[in-house]
Parts: sequence; structure tokens; C-alpha cells
Amino acid sequence: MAKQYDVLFRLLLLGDSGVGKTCLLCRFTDNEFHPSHISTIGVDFKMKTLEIDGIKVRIQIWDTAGQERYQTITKQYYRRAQGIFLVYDITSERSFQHIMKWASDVDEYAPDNIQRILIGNKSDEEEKRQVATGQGNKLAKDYGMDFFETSASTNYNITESFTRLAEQVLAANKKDLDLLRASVTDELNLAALEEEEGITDGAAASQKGCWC
Amino acid sequence: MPSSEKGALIKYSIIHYVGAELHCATLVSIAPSSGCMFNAFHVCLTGGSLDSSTLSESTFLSYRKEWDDLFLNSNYLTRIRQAGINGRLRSSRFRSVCWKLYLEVLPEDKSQWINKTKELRSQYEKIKERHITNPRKAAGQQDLVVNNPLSQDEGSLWNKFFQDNELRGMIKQDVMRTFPEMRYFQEEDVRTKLTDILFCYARENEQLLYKQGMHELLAPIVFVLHCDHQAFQHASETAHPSEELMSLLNPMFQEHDAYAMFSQLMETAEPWFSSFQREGKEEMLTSMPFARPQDLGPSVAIVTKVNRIQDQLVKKHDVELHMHVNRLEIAPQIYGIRWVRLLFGREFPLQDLLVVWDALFADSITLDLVDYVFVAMLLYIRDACKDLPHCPSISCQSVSQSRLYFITI
Repeated sequence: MAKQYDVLFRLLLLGDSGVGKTCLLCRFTDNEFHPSHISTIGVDFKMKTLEIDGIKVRIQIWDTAGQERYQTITKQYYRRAQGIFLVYDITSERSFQHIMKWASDVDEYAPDNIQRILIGNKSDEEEKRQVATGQGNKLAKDYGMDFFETSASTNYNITESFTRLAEQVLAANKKDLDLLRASVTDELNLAALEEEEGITDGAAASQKGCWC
Repeated sequence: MPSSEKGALIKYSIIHYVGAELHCATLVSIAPSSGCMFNAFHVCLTGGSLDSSTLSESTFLSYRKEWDDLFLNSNYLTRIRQAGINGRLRSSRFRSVCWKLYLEVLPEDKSQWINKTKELRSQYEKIKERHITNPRKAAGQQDLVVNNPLSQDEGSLWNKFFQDNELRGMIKQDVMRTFPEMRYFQEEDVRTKLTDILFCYARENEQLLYKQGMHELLAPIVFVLHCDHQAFQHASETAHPSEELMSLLNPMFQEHDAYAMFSQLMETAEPWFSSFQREGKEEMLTSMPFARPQDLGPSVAIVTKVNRIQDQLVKKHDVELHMHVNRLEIAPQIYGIRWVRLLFGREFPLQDLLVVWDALFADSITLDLVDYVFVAMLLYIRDACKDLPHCPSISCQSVSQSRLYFITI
């Protein structure tokens, strides 16, 4: 079966309700912004293909409801994620404080080599700002993450932040990537990996970096 | 038949028909001006050769007749259940009354309707008074050491005030995002009503509090009451309605009635929002070599429910489809949580959703029909699912993002 992409991986958007996770995603995948968005119930996801270093990277981005946490989406889904966006709203101090809670959940459930990135969204609402850029920078540094202030509304830093996380995930899985490059013409190999993933358990799949 | 009588009859049926159409239009109307729509029609007809007083009378007559047809029969409850299940309430002006009966907000015995209605309204009045407090107003009631804005005391009214604000903020955030395409839900007083009801419900149910999605179970109820109130006000412009009608459809109590209906609905829907985890399942399953993603992790009622639907009902009705979704590892919670929690609210346009809810409520207050509608929706897109290549991501997306419409309903 011919593939439209070389690798596929999964990213997760996490953060309090109303910080703009769905809006970030819609801006990134469809270049759309709706100021009056509906709240996400359960989980949803969207896909987009990026080209990084000549590799077609299909990313599947999971959008979660702010209230959902780890209850309804099984741990397995988190274990299969390779990258996580921790999102807060620069006009909400509380959403920033909660980042620590989200981050500790990630530590508990996500694979060890998971890549994380910190996002302070709604940067266009400067007059309502409650979290200084410096605070975001400091937190990101403490956690060893990259940090972006973004605005889904004005399309500021959206592609940049998504691409950065995608690049980090690629780099973190470089070993698998080299294997893939060596066999990029062999379509069967990809199909075989996909089949294999279907029958192995989650731990093994995440160790392999979960290419499919 | 004398020609004048025949004329009146034709007039009557036109009004009846158009009245129904207009009412139907109010259900989809983005504008809260359904009353104006009625009036515009009224003006346009009376401007012609029709006598306005006869017209108004017959409007009321058709209204009264619809009431009698629905509720006057001795076996009326069975009949309105059938009407709901068969989609015959689409343009009804008494949908809210039918829903109250389905949801057991009103008893079957009609002689108790007025009393029961009064009782429930005064209950809500008390609930609201108890939970929506102003700490300044109540200042004299508590010791200033306990009751001041900086007090950490659990019993402090100020402490409660700040906690309440947090809860209200959380609710308000979703209320602001309720049916954004409908003007009715952008009105400030409607938003306040929705927020107050959800807030009171949360305070009355501290274990559950407010969970995202409840707002979209409440909103259609509030809207259906609004539509029925509009129709009632129009019909009673000229004729004097019965005491029963005046009590049941009094627009002053929209919030009270919505609370009662929502609370009853939540009696069934509550576990689907609960995040209470039943432990123990995980240990048992991690050793299973072929455990699927949905078999692992904590078991929350909603997850158990959607898994059961996929593994039992879908399997029973379509083995091939069941095998297919399993092979692709499409866990039902990816698409099913929203379907169940919102009672398919995001999968149908509102005017169709109300018809779906007519059937869900009419069938049984336990909402057993939800499971079958769930399966029917999967079967409806089975061919689209099956044609897709064996890539989990793509198939999964088509299931979760398909806008499904029940054309037959």
C-alpha cells in the first residue's frame, strides 16, 4: 500500500479548560480561527503532514477536554504519544499555576523519552495579561522545555511551535529515523511495522518509538 | 356546507398548518424573535380580507385542539410516548409538557399537575436562595472573626463566596460557548439562567459538581421551554387559557422548570459524567497478551458503557464491522464519549436533535435507546469505515469527525 507520508507520530495538547487548545489546533491544521468556539467533550484529533529534513511527517494531534485529565483516555494512548504541548493562557494566572499539575501527570503516565513544549496562548490579549513572559520562560527552563507565546487569533508562533515539537520528536527518535531512511524505498517495511505495532503491547511499541 | 363555514374551515387549516410550520421555524430560528415571526404573519394575513378576531380565535382553537389531542385521552401517556418515538412532536407546541411527562417531572395523574409544578418551583426557589449567597448581605449573621474576606475558615461565607466564584467561572466558560451559532444563547439573561441552574445543580450534587457537557444537556431543555412559552403567549393574546395551561406554561418559571427537567435527566446521565474510578481491572488485564488499549487503564462508567456497546451490541448486529474496528484499534471512547454525554447533541442540527431527544425520552427515562442509536449511527457509516485503508489514524478520524444525520427521523 503506497503511503502519503514516511513517519507518523502522536502529539497531545494538554492544559486547563478554555486556554485555547482547540483553537491552536484549528489554526495549525486548517488555518481557521473561531472566537466563539465550542468546548471539547472527551477527546478529538486532527492530522497534518509536515516536511522536515526531506521526511514527510504525518502528525496526529490529540485534543483533550480541559476537564478530562487521565480518566477517559486510556493510559495506553498517553503511552503512545511522543510529544506533548502544555498549554496555558497568559490572561489566566490559574491556568499557569496548573501547568505543574499537568506536567506531573505527564511524568507519571507518558513514556520517558517524551518531548514537551510549553505554550502561553492568547498573546494578542496583552491588556489582560496576568502571566509575564519571563515567568513562562523561567518555568520552561526549570522543566527543560522550549517555550513559545502564541496567538491562535493572530496566527502568531503557531507553525513555529508545532514544527519545533515535531523536530524534537524526530531528533529524539533519530535511531529509528536512520533505520527508516535506510529502508525508505521499501514500502513493505512500513506496512510490516504497522502490523507489528498492532499486536505488540504498549510498552514495546513505545520503546520502538511507535512508527507506523 | 355553507360557504362561510367552509371559508372558516380553510382558514383554520391554513393557520393550523402555517402555525405548525412557524413553530417549527422557531425551533431552528437563530433569532429569539419567534414571537415577531408569528406577529408578522398575523399582520400580513389580517391586512388582507381575513377578519382578525376570527383569526386570533382560530389560532387559539388550534392551540387548544393540539393540547386536547395530546393530553385529553384517558390513555394519553402511551399515546404521547408513541408520538415522541414516531417523530410526531417535531412541530408540537407542547413538547416541554411531553418531556416533563417522559422525564417524570409531572406525574401521570393530571389532577396533580398544578400542585406538582408549584412544589417543584418552590423547591428551586429555596435551592437558589441557599446556594447563591451574597456575603455582604449575610454579614450580620456571622462573627466577623470567621466571616471576613481574608478568612480561611471553612465555614466563612466569604470563603464560600470565593469558592463559588471559581465554580461559576468554570460553568460560565462553557455557557459562553453554548450553541454559538444561535442568537438565543448569546442573550445575557439566557446565559445567566443557564449558569445559575448549573451552579445550583453542582452545589446540590457536590460529588459530581459541574462537568463539561452538562451545559449542552441543559441548553436544549431551556430552548424547548422558551419555544413553548412563545407559542403560549401568542395563543393567549386573545383567548383566555385554562388554569392548567397558565400554570404549566408560565414563562416566569422557565428557569425553575428547566432545573427540574435537567435534574431528572441527570438522574440517568450522571454516571456518564462521573470520573469515579473502579480499581482492580487494570491488574487483571495487564497480563493479557492481546489486551487492546481500551481494555487497560482505570474503568470509568462512561468508558465501560461505550466499550460494552461496541463489544456486545455492535458485535451482535454486525460482526464484520466489529472485527474491523477492533483490528484498527479504534477505541469507542474516542468518538463515543461525546455521543453519549451530549446525547448526540453535536451530531445533529438542533431541530433534528430535539426529535432524537423526543424519542430517547419517550422510550424510557433510563435512556436505554441511547445504546441503540449509537449502534445505528455506526451502522450508518459502516461502508465508509470499511472502505478505508488499514490505517488506524485515518479510519478513526472519519468516525470521530463525521457529521451524522438521521435522514429518516
